[in-house]
Amino acid sequence: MLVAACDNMVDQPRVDDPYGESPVYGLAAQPLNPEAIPVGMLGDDEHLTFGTIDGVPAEEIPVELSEAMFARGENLYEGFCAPCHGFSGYGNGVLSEEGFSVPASYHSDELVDAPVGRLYQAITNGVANDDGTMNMFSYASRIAVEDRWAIVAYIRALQMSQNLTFDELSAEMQAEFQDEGE
Amino acid sequence: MALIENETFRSQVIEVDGKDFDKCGFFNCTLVYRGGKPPTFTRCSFRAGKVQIEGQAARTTKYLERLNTSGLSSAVDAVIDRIETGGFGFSSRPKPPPRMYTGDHYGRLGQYAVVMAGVVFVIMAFFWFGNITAPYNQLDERDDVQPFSAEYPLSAMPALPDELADFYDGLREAQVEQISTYQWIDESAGTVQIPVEDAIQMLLDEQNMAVASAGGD
Repeated sequence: MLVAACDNMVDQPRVDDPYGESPVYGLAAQPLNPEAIPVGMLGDDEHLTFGTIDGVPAEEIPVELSEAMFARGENLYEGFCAPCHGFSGYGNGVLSEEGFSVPASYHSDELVDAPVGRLYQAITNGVANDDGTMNMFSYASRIAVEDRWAIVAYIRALQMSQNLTFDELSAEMQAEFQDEGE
Repeated sequence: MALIENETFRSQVIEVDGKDFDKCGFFNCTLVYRGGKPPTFTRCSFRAGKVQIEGQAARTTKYLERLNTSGLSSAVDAVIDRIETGGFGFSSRPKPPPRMYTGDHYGRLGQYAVVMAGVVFVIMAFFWFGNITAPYNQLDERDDVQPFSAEYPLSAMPALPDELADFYDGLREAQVEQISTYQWIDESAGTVQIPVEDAIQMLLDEQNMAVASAGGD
């Protein structure tokens, strides 16, 4: 009978405009609390969770590398990163070609020499423009901590695939290179 | 009376006057009665067969036949009924109960009453608790609620034109080729591109070597 009284909740007090005023909470759509912590970011391990060691971006990946980890990183990269960064990491992804902000190429000297912690921080915190707007927003709420390191590992592999010299290749790879060239 | 027990008769003509049959089977037999002492059949079974009335016994049937054709057929029917119901006192079949207030039709009436009460209750509940389809009917009448398809018809939905799809596919192909083939990037500087799988293997080998050397220390 109570349910029938409000016509099965069709008519109920609510604020239809997300940006309108709410009599109880002020704004109808509540903004994120600036002190909110994304899931998985309450860890004790600074290196694993924040990609820093004593506040400095870390040079090494804190997770042991494996083929499975690289496969996962490739899978996630293709889904989350390739639309802007491109499949090969040159920053010429589909969205960038269509007018979205163009990211830096992973194969620039700056990013090839950058520590892995900086790549991890970009995924976790996003990348800000000089004027304070976000060029890339944070993926912390969508990609778990271990998965972020998997993506970082794959990015390292992408960088290595485009930045080696012929002399740095092993003999086998040099032979394969010659075969393919022919 | 002659007692006959545990016998089976098949396709025979049997004189039954003055006989007591106990636990006998009669299959397709003709039972002949001539008006002597009436036989008894106790725990017997019959399958097909005929009854023949002859001799003195035939007088009774003749009497009834003549009554029937003379206009007293109702009395003859009454005699037949009494024979069937054991009213003459000779039948060993248990008399059926009198046909009054057996309770069957009372039970059926009760079932109907319960169903009707249930139907009435459902209708009452429908009106008591409210018309449950009313909110959705009211939605149709409200002006401020429109279905999504009214404002965005399916024909206006964005669809990827063929040339754009081809462009995206070409872009992807070119980029994937960069990370899956051996090629010179800058031959003068000596930089090459290698498949990303090889780069992954190189990184794994680096890690293994580092682990091995750390273990060796």
